Amino acid sequence: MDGLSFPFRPLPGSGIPRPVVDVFVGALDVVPIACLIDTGSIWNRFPAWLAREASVDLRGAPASEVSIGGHTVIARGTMVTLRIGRHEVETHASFCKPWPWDFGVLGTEGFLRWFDAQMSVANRTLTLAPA
Amino acid sequence: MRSVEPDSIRDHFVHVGSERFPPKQVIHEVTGLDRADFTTNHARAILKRLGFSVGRIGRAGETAPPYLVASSTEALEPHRGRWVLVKDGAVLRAGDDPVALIRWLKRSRQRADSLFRVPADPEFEPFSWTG
Repeated sequence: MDGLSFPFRPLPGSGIPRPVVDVFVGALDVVPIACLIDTGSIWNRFPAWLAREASVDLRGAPASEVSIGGHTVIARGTMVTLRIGRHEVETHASFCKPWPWDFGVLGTEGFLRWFDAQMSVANRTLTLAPA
Repeated sequence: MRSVEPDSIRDHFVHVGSERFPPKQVIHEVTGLDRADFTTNHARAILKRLGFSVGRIGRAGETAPPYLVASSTEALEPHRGRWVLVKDGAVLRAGDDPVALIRWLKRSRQRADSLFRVPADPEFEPFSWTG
């Protein structure tokens, strides 16, 4: 498959390699955000503080209470541009508070459905090609 | 390799399970070959062809993420519990607030490879239901 290949890697400070990719969010182009590919999640989730820095307008965005990783957070979602490598997708993402993690979460409907994704856990590699 | 204690890593490493090993140690343990009979580059190339994630301490390797490189050099130790901007395997700037770091990047017209918080607890494994 012609696409981007990402060796699994540990999250910051962690020792266990996982599917983690760096994604540029919205207009924030000075540093990417490390994101965990979470096939158990449907939508993309980011910390609330990131919205303003990425020029994401959350005015009027409905707030909802969701459970993520064992925590209950308030999520406000809108459409946002995510860029990974040379690929760009316009998709829905929620910005959550509180956000006790140091990485974003990319879910199936919010992110993976835009790609033909192959994950080899045996080889610890994720490959993404535009769908 | 489950029962093998990793040797200290001087330069190159390979991920096996949740551990990092010197590539020559892995080939030696698996094949019984004397370590003097092959080079680190040979071991690294073989393991990479087999799908293992390999990296190198202290430089932005082709597979090692910036925070992994930086954490391997102990550069992050003084910053435990704080956010850091990493560029080319080195800590560009550290602080308590990720937003302040992003704004500093924008002001100084610089880019970073990664932004993350160095875990205060090195044993902490995020998003782990059993850990």
